[in-house]
Amino acid sequence: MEKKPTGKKILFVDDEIRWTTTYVEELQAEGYEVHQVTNVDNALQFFQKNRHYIALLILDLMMPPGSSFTNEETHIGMRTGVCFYDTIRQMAPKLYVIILTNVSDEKVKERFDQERYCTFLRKPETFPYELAEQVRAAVKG
Amino acid sequence: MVVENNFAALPPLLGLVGDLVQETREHAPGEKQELFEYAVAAHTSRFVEGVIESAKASCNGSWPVLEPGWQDVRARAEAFEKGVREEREKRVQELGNPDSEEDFRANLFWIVERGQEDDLKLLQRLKQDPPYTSDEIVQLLDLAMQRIRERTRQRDDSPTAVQRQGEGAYGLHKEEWDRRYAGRYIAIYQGEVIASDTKKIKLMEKIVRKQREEGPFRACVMKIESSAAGSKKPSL
Repeated sequence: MEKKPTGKKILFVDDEIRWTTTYVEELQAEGYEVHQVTNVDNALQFFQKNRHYIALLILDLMMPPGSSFTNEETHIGMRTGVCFYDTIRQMAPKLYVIILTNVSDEKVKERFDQERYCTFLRKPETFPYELAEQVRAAVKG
Repeated sequence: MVVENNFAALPPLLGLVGDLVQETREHAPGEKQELFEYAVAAHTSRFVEGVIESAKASCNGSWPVLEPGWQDVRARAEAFEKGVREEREKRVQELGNPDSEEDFRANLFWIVERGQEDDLKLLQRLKQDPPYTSDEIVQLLDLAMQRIRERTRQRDDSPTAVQRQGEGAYGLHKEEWDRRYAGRYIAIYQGEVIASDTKKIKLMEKIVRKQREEGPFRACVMKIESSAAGSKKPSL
């Protein structure tokens, strides 16, 4: 059942739409307006233009580096989301970010666990309703 | 354990099982983590199904009140099991028959993090005849094989596993090692040749020296024939 629009916009950056559809549908059903972007170049552009309307960012980590980042700094794309996160953080220090990734490396998780406005979730362990719960808690707080 | 007259202990016990599953998952290394997730998903799905059937049989008239909640739990458990399993199957299948470079790269990203030992053969085949030849793709293929080998090594250091890993590494580098180490004994550790010598006894001395310096480890020792036509069966 669709809920009343919350008026909150979410930017969802992930290069693989097909594996994120269930998450997006769940968020939309919860009343969130979700803007999906599949590459970091467009996502940065979108963010710069719309940063004041974005209530929350959901970010994948393994994505092609595009022209915004280099292969070296992103570890051949394996950590593009980390570079994206650092860039966004400089523009919006208090924007809540949910990292939603397949990355299993504990060090990466620890790095984001130390961040204040950030939650680290692993895709295989995260039900869509759980993501929606995290989003609800984040935009409320 | 729950005894017959201690039903009150069941909810806290289920909570403890949840904590145990969570903690085990956090402590399980690399590849074992994923296998553990599959096992828990399968057990949970069966457990939920069993409880639902018992609930149906026991609730008589009041079942319709509870049914939506149980159906929701069942749907989530099924989706969890099915989703995790299907994604893995699809990604491996697509890696072997890619539609586009973007999809191929995305599946490689995934396999770097979640690939299993079984995937090494496919990766090796792709490395020999890659469907796309950009530097990034070639580097990702190397990285995927390296990460899987690292995870496999973390998992098992038994003599059998060490021998299997040594044979696997030899298979991957056969051409180069046949040429470089022709007529020598080699010691393979973590996919690399760590020492070689024309005499086995000398090689063993080198290994022991390394073990003293770096701590205990097992290496696979094998002889590379001078003709490079084949090698003798490895020994530990």
